[in-house]
Formats: sequence, structure tokens, C-alpha cells
Amino acid sequence: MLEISTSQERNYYIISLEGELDASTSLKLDTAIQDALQQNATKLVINLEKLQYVSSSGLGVFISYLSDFEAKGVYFSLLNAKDNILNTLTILGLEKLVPLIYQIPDE
Amino acid sequence: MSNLDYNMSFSTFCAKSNLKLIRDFVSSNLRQNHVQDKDCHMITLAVDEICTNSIIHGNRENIKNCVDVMIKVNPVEVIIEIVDKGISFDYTKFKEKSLDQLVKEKSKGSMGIMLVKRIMDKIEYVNESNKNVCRMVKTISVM
Repeated sequence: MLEISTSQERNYYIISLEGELDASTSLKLDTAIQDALQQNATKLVINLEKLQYVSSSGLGVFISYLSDFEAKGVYFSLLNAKDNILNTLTILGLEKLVPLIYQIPDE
Repeated sequence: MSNLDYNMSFSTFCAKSNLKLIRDFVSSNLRQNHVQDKDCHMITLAVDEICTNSIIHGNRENIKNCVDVMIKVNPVEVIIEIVDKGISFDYTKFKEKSLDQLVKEKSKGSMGIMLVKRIMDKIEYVNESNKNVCRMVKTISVM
């Protein structure tokens, strides 16, 4: 199960994930990111605070958008990842490509 | 099944929605066998990745097909066997791509096997009695 909610903090578009992100739920995240881009979000943060699990299927969704984000000048980061999520990210070296943050940046 | 005497086994049909059941089976059994949390999480992730490939690519999400997961825990290692009858995966032909390549190609895949290779100490794919068998070993320290 994966629950997704969106919110706005200043000019940051925040997608919050709750539950488990795997091959059976990754399409929901894909759709949420597409929605954000269609709404012309320029600062996109994925809040992982309540995400319990991620597999490569979920990380693949992030990877597949990175070049679009760069081309469109969209700021993208991952917020408040738990230790087990961080472990999975760092095994692949994703921390080198995506900023891992613990609060919404000050303007 | 191989000649190894597996302690626990689980079988389910090939649907992505069953990945959660597979993960719960693996993690609960590893915890019962006092495998440390970090190892438990990593091994569960590796099993998820292999089963995802089996369900999606090997069996095209055909719910008439099954994937079996077997676990053996001993004081120094966890041995996992994942068995299906779908399309074989030729592990020897897998070529790892760099993250930069994956980003450039807007790829959503390819990272599952990369994760498994980094997590597990030994992985082998064999075909035994018309079944695909993925056998993986992880050295552990038990609590």
C-alpha cells in the first residue's frame, strides 16, 4: 500500500509518501510526479518521512525524471528519508544525484 | 527444489500485489531466526528484486504461474532460493549501467540486479528440472 498526498509550502510542491513503494505501487508515484510537472512545479520535494520501504522500482521512477527536471530547471530533492531508505539509496549511489534534505530549504 | 534442507518456504501466484506478502514472509522469518535488522532489511529487498523480475519479466504477471521462495538460516549465513517456471533470465548477459547512463536513458529499470549484486555475497541462476532457480547467499552475524 502506498498513500500519496500533495501540499504546498511557500513555492515548494511537496509529494508525501506513506507506506511501501515497490513495483506494485510505483505507478502512483509516477502519476503524482507527472501531475506536479503539469502544474508547472519548479521546486519539487518528495517527503519520505512516512515511507517504510522502497525497492528499485520506486527509485527507478525518480531516476527516469532527473533529466527532465534538469532540462526544465526543476529543483528536486528527497526529504526526511529513514535509515533503511537511506541505505537503499546509498547502495546505488543515488545520494550523488539527488539532494537528501531534512527541512524545506530557506529562500 | 535443491538438496538443501530449507527451513521455510512460501509460494504465491505471479502478481505484483503479492510482493508485499513475499517481503512479509522473508522479514518475519529472518527476525524469528534472530537475523539483525539491517541484514534482514537488505535480504528482504534482494528477494523483492528477484521476485519482481520473475513476476514481471519471467512470468508476464500470469497469475496461473507461481513463484516459490525458500529460506535457510544457519549461524553464519542466509541462503535463499527463488524458483519459477517462467522465461529464464541469463544472469551472465546482464551488463550493469552507470547511474549517468540510466538518467540519460530515462530508465526505470536495471537497478534491481545492481542492488542484489551489492547486497548478496553470492548469486547464481541455474535451470534445474525445467525450473529457474535463483540461489543467493548472504553472510550474516546473528544477534
